[in-house]
Amino acid sequence: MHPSGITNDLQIERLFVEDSARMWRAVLAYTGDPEIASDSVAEAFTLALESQGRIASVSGWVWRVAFRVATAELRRRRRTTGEPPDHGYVPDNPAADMLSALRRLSPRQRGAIVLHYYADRPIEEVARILGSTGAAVRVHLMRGRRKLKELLEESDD
Amino acid sequence: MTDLRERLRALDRLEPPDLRSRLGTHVVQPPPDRRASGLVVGVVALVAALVALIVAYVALRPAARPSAPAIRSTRHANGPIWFLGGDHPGSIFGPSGGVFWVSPEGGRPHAVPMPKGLSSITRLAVSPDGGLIAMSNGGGEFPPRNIYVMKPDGTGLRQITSGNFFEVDPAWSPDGRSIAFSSTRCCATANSSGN
Repeated sequence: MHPSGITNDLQIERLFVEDSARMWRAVLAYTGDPEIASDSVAEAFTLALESQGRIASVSGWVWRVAFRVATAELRRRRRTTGEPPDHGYVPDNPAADMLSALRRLSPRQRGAIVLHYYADRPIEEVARILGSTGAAVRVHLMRGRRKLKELLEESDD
Repeated sequence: MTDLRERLRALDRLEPPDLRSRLGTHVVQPPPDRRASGLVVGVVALVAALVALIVAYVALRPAARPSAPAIRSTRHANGPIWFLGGDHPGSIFGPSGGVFWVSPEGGRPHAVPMPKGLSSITRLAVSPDGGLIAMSNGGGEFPPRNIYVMKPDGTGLRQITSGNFFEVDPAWSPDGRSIAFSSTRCCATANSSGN
């Protein structure tokens, strides 16, 4: 018996237990919308479970799908409403300053910062998730880091 | 950079909703079509009412159903039925996962206290005399996954096979002295005492 079907499911279950909350927070920080975050993470895990063991690297695959579903939804909303999501309706938001500062970065800078510095994804994987290159991600990280530092210092004052 | 990582830890204070309940639901709902006709709304309401009736019937009917989904059950003659239950078929990961037994006549399923040393079980096989349960246990995708036995009350856990192999599907010989199983070492059997 080839073990890939069973082991894929086990891996997905373990990833869900250990990493789904962090993935949700990362997608929320990227999109600014808790509903998009919840739907994107749930969609990624559901697709993984339906894959019947055809995924080689479950963790990278689920992170990539969650962010791509979120990106597609952000684009769809911008087309239909012209407005990016608002962080304001996260109830009693305990990370308001950070989310507010992240929102003022470009989407690419925000995605790179969240995935690399919060979710601890390696730069090459960040590039795959965002559909970019390692070199471009390094530039986004450098510029995003500089801008985020300024914004956080402003909010500290 | 360390400082930035520290500052980003503020995100950890955000509590996600119950994501598990959303698995399998369709995602990213389109905005409501305000031009939808009354007929469409009526049909949707009718379907929703039918679904609610079915859900209520399933929830309220008297049944000897386990609280967790029953999968891959095993039993010996006239004895209890043993099964794996959990949040996701095929594993005991998650807060409600584990080994359960239920009487063949029905009734409430009972959870077996899980001994330390088990990380994820994928198959169970009860011995012919009902005195031991064999199972495949391991850490996940990669070997080792080996064969273990324990008593039906969750005590006496013993690792029967070892080595960096992927070993699943234990099955007892009729005399209870050997366990056959599938293995990446190929075509293996082990003495149920571990020799």
